[in-house]
Amino acid sequence: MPRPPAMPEVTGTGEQAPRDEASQEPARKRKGAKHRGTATDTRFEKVLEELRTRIRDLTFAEGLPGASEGISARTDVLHQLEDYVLPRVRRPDTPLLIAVAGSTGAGKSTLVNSLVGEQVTTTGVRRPTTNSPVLACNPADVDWFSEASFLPTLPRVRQQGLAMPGKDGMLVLAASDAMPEGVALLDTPDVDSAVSAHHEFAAKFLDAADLWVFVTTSRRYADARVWEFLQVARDRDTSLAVVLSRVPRRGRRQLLGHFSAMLQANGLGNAARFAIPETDQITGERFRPNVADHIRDYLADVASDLAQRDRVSRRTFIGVVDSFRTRVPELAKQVEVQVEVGRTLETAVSEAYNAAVASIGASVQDGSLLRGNLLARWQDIAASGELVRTMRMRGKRKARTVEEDAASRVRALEQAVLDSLESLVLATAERAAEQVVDHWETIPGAGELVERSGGRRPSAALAARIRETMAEWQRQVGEMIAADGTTKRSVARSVTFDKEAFALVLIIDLLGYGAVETTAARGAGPPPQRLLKGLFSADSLRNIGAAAQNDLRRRINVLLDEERARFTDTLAAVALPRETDAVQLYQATYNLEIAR
Amino acid sequence: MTTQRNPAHTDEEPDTAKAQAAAPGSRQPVPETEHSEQGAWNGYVVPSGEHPATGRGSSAGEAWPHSRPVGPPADSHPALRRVVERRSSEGHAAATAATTETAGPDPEVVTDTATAVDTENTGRQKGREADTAEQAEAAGETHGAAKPARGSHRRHAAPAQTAADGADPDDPDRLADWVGSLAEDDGRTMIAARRTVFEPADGPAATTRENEEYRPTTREFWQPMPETTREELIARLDSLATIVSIGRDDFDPEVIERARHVLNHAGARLRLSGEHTVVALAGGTGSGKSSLFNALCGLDFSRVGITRPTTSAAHACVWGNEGADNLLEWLGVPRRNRHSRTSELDKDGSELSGLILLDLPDHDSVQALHTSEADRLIGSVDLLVWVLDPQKYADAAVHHRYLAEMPGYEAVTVAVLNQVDRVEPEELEELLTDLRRLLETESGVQTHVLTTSTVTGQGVSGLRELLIETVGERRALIDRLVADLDSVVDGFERYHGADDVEPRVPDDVRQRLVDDLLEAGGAPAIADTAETAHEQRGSRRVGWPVARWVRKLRRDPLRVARMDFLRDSGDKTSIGPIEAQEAEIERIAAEVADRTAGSLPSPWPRRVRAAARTSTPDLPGELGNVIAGTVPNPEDTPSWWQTVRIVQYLLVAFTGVGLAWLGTLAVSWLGGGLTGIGMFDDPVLIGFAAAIVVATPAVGWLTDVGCRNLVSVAAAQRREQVELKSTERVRAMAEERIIVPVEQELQRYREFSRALAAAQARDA
Repeated sequence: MPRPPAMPEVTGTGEQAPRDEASQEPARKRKGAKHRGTATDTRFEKVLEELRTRIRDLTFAEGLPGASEGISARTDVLHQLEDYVLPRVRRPDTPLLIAVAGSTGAGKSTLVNSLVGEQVTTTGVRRPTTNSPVLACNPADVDWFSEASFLPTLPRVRQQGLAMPGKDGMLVLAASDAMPEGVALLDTPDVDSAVSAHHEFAAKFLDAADLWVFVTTSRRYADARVWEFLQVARDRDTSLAVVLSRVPRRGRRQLLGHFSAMLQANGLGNAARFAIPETDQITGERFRPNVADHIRDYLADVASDLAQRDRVSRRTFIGVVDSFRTRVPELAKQVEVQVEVGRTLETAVSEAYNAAVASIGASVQDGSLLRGNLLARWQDIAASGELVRTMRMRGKRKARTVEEDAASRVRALEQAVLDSLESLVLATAERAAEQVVDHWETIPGAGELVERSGGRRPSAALAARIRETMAEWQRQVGEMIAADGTTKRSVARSVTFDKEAFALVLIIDLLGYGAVETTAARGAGPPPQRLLKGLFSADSLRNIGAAAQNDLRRRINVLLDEERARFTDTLAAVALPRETDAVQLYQATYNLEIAR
Repeated sequence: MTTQRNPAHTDEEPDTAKAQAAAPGSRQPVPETEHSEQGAWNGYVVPSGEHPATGRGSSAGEAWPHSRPVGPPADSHPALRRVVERRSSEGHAAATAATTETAGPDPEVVTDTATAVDTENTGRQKGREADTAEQAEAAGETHGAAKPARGSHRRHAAPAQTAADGADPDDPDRLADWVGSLAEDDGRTMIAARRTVFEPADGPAATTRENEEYRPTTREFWQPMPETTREELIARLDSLATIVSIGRDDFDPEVIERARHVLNHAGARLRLSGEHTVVALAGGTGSGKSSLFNALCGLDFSRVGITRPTTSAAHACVWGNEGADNLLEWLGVPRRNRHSRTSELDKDGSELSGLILLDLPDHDSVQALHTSEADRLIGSVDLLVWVLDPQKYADAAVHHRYLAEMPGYEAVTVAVLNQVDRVEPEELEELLTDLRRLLETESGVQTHVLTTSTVTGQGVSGLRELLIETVGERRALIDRLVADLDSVVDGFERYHGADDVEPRVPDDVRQRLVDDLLEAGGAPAIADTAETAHEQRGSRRVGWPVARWVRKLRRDPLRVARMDFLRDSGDKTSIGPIEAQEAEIERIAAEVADRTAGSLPSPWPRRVRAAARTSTPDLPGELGNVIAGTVPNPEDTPSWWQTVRIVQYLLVAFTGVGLAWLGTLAVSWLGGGLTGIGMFDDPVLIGFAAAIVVATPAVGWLTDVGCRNLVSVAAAQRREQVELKSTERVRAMAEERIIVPVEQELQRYREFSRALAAAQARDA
């Protein structure tokens, strides 16, 4: 598609930009520039549709890095696609939409009234004056603008008779015979007042317009905000006319010169420029004829000449489609940022909990649990011979006192085992949670996620859950010990013993008694291994030991996974974009490039 | 583009003063020979020249018009004065008003050559008004100079300049302390250009005719700030410094940073002249800041331009020079932009003496440098006058970026709607209402609104009155810093819980801590073991040996299981240090923290936890040693055991002897006196021997039972001893290693609470 020339043909106050030869190239048909035959057209449309779907389906996790940028970029591109690009691809005969935008108090509404030739919008001294945009067009075109294909998301009302202030946020459609057919003039809210809703509004309309008439004043032309918009216009290569209003008589030439130089320096040198003097020649909410006539002439010129009109709209259209080349990848970049953030968050969780699993796995068999109370209890029961007293010859009864005494000691050991395991798992889970939270808190905006996931403390019920699980495990070990065939036959024939107590002996052994005893003199008492060997066959001991250890690890993993789920569920609940989203966006951009 | 610099007012200020003295009240005709150089445009390509190559340059005269300074019409004064609402200065205000009023119509006229020069810019039709204005101004000057009392404050101006200067009566040592303590954290003395800006406003509303109609509205929301003295402010800043030092690592770094910034800033400002009030005119480009500045100064100090933006560096005009230099240095106003209105003969200055008026660069143009400069100064000045104009008054740049960010600065903020000559009088009312509405809804600021016009001179005197009042009170400086302080202190509120916390760990928590530690260290188990060991050992010693021997003969399950070794190990029970599980200690410590400080807001529970866990790594070993140390040596057995043991064996021996005797007797007797010894033959003795055989085991058994009981009692005593001793020692250890750090942290929280209350002046 040949690039239409920059829009040079109009002069402001006496300045004449050079005409580009290429602009003389006749348009293929009215408004036809955007498409080249039906086949390509549908393909182009399809590609655009696909791009829109991709963008629409994007999700961003709010509050996390990249989200606000991503969302605004998404909204931007999506709106422009839906409001501007797609309607124009589908309907080549769209009327030319001229948006009058600019600073508050620049006289946009007055200008629109003057251009239309009758009062369609309200003016005033209050800032900002215009709360709802007014669209003026020929009665023949009103239907088109009332259709949903134009700015589908915007509610609109038709204006009857003279100007009336519309409801905020509604587009007012004002039909006027003074407007030529095929051209619509839009009075937009300001871009810089304290009402931020206006800015979004204005930006939305500018995105949908074929031609921008940007109005600023002699006071404001150096405002940062004004240039933000002008730079967007430049970057998108929009057809643009700039109006400097309220130019005082004194210093007019200097002002215009300075402004022109600024435009020139910012790459907008060939935009059409106009000046409106600071004037009291306002009657009936519009300028006297001579003040804004040059602008009117210019617009009339654009409107009446099909070729010209086509060129204007085509330039903007191509500029917009071109801008997708950078805007969509930028959007994709934000998607990548979010994906990266998501990955970081996930990694933090998995790292912390994997480390927790590993450290517990080591702790439960290297004997580090055999300290303090647990060790003391073991010594108490083993070294004192109480354990032995639980054994007796078959058919003999022991004194009840001895029995009770031994049983209470066994119970104490059992509690000690539970306590140790509970402390270990709880402390590890706590540490893991803290690690995750610490890590998450380094990411801006993830504080809320921390909150949602329940904070740095493990869940309240965890301690009870651990205890329950560990008690179950002990029972399991006891059952394994008690199973038939584990006890040596020679022993089983003549001796009975407390299975529960010996399950504890096995547990002590599993917790790494051997590993510790070699390193430190841990008081006296027989090693549990020897005790067990006396009663059980080596084979079954090995089997039971391995099974019990695996069982313990499995149970602890389940517990930690439940804890981990707090974080992973929170992550899953925030709608982070998928990794493939970015790729698909790039792909869609590429397709667009191909289809052009 | 930098602002036009006035060669007459650059470095040789004394000369300037002299020049002004020579012509009191006159305007200095400013030679407009110097065109300002082209500044760099941030982010934009700069047009190569002021009059670019388009060939559409204009003449210098058109480019650099002077705005002419205009005084207010004299007749507006009575209206103005009525609006003055500052209760603290009611009397003074009234006095000033009265004198001004009488002075107003003073027909002293100044023939001003500059007026003629300026007319080309302002338009001939305005000439008449301008003259009136000048009269008023001149009158004000005359009046001001005639008030010698005003000059008295100059006495104080000099000593207040540097912190090193110990003579400063207003700078107690404390100030130096906290400023010094923070200096190491952050050496900046200058305010950083932050987005969050502070804005001062102060002074009563002096309004114009138009504004008077809005007086009810103004009254409604105008709330003068509670009086804060310099000492109170310093005390509050001290408290803030305490807060910062307490929360340095744990509070939101942004809040801490802001607090530090305020401390540095306030410290620096307080060291500088307290006799001066810095008032800044801030606003968007083209709102007429420079024109207003010139009008207030009465001279063309700041360039007024057609093209935008004009002013790129702040200009300052000083009334009353003494001590102002350091302040201006601190504010970063370049020397060439400082202008002085001080002179003994310059009567205009005395009323405003102590005022430093700043003309700020714009904050909304494409020149990012201007914006940052404006931000910096907006953060530093004492009273902020927002200059708005009918075109720009609703800009988001003002409302959202500045005013909305500065709630609580009402007292040191004034909004001035400039250029009211551009709207019709009937429209003005609507406009003002709208501005008030905007200020309230968009910015949440309720402040004074004045209207001015430099073209007609309307309202300028009102603004001037306000400045006079502000300067006279010397309170804007404090009010501004108080507003700064308030805005920062509120950020710490969230670290303060609703209810007070005792800085002592409750007794039940302590008790539980000791119990838990004992349990973790295995103290009960060790006590059990000690008891059992003692009992076993004792019963072996004092028991009836025969019973033991009999027991050994029984069938033994251990032998069946080939676990005989178990039996041998029985006597070797010894108790060494057993440490404790670290995870358990950690949990116990955390529990103490949670039970004590769990209800506190966010960083505190974590901090208390950390404090409770300070010695967790050492505790297990220590705990083990402490508990093991309480167990008495198992070899340390009572001596009577030995005696009983001997007695028992003797008894056994007697039994044996008795048995032998009995046997011999029986054989001998049955054999009819085989031995021939009476002792063995006498059948009577059979009974005697039998008695021995029966009695000795009985005695042995009884001794066994009795002594075992004694041993049991002794063992129980041992156990108790172990328990008591370990409880005692563990309690001491817990106190030292866990309770004390926790209580220190709680103490810190209380300090924080107190400091916060003090910084908020809650109890005041």
